[in-house]
Amino acid sequence: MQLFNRRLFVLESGKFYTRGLLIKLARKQARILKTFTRSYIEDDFFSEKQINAVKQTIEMLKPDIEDFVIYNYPYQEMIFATAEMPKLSDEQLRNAVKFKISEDFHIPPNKLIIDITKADNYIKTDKGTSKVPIFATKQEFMDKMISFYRGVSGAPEPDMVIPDQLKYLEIFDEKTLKTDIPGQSKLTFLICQDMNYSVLFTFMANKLIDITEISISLEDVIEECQKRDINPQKVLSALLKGSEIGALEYTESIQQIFSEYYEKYTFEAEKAIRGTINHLNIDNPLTRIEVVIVASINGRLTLDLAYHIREEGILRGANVIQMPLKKDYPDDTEDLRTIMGLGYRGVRELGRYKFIQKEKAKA
Amino acid sequence: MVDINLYKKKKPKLKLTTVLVLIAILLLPVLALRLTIETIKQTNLAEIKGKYQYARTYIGDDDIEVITSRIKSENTKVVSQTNTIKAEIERIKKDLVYAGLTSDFINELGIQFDRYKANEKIFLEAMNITRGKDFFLKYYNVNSKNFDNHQFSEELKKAYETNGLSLTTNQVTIDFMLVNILQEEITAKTAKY
Repeated sequence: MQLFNRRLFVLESGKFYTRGLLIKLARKQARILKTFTRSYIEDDFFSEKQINAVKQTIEMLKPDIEDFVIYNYPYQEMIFATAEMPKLSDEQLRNAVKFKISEDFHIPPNKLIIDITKADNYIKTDKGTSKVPIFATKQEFMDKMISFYRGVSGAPEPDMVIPDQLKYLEIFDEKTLKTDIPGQSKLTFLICQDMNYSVLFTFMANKLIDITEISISLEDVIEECQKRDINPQKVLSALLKGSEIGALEYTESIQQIFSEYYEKYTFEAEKAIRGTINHLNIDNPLTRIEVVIVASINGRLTLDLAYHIREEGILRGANVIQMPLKKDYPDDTEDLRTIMGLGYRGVRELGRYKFIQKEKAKA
Repeated sequence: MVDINLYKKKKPKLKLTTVLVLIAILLLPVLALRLTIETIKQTNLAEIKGKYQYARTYIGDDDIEVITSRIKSENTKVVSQTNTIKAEIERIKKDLVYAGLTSDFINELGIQFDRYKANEKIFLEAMNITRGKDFFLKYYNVNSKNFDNHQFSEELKKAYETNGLSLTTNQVTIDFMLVNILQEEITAKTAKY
């Protein structure tokens, strides 16, 4: 019975791990009740190991019928676009945007799911129109995913399904972004390294203007380990936990793999940033770069990535920092950053709550 | 920052216990109001019962006939008692009037006697005062030849008439050498009192 408190059940599942999180909301505080993580290595989404992991998560966390349920949605299935639109009502705008994406990507409108950001994120143009950030996906994949979770794994129906990459924006302390000064707005790049994708968020002042893929991710490290007969499961577990890689066996080979990986990563990130700058048509873009922010699935990997990108001198020595987290982000959930992003989104949907530390919650 | 939700189909689900608790919460003010009204009613009823302890708490259909006949007999009793009291009042009124008459009748006799006893002699022969009959007085009023009239007799009759007595008189005068004797019979109409 959830009359005087609410509970959230968050499920984050992908090719490499499935994670569950149970959050209790009461008296303006959000408290983590239970977490569960299962890692595995599979080539595809909807694999048998993933089914088992989701089943196990459901068994362990026992979500309730009244829980607010949040799922992540694979990054690879998402379409991000911006469309320049005249001033329209919200419903008209959604319809217009749907037809535009349908036309651009050759998907019938009835087989398309779209959602647009709130009006604060629209970028006003000189012509009086607005550039609207759009997130879209195919209905077919969504149906398949929901029936997979509900039918095969016995998971509850979700209240929210969030594009996976947006979890980073939820834990990001957006106050770091400078407010908009017309004509002098600065560019901020946010590089997010995930297990099977990397993404570049571009902000003009405090508005999100672009999302681009960086064609490298931690998946490449796993693949390289498999090639060199290094137990990929151990490496994966270390990566997820944010453990010291040097503590594993095969230290030398691993160090080499990571060293090559980070070198390549900086190159790919630079390519992505410069590509973005080119297609956004911004005047004197390099002089307008405020900072390059780096994030990853946990604090340890964020630290490593930021260090290497800084050392490699991305964008001719641009300022590189680790992603600042929200003020109330619990310190003891460093290894749960990814799912915490989804959790923050769900909590935000239900009201204004502040996360408290696990220890504080126990006390 | 970016409020995206790709799945907006779910309808909120509630458990049966939650629904029941919600219904209970919704009904609570109504029940509380009823309870308050009932409490107030009971308190007031207890207060009224305390004041009127003889009152029956409940009158059933079967009781009505009995109570009606009881009320009727009570009413008859009250009417008869009222009549008795009325008659008694009338009787007392008459007694008072009669007492006043007898008192006046005797009192005036004494007053006039005191006034004229120095010059006139009074010999009372008969005096009859009986309830339901006329008062009767017979006396001899004697005075000397020097006086023309019998003042006692005159003043007595005047006084009686002033007091509202209706009189019939019968007098005989006997003339002696030195005195005049008046034999007088006074009848006051008091039979009706």
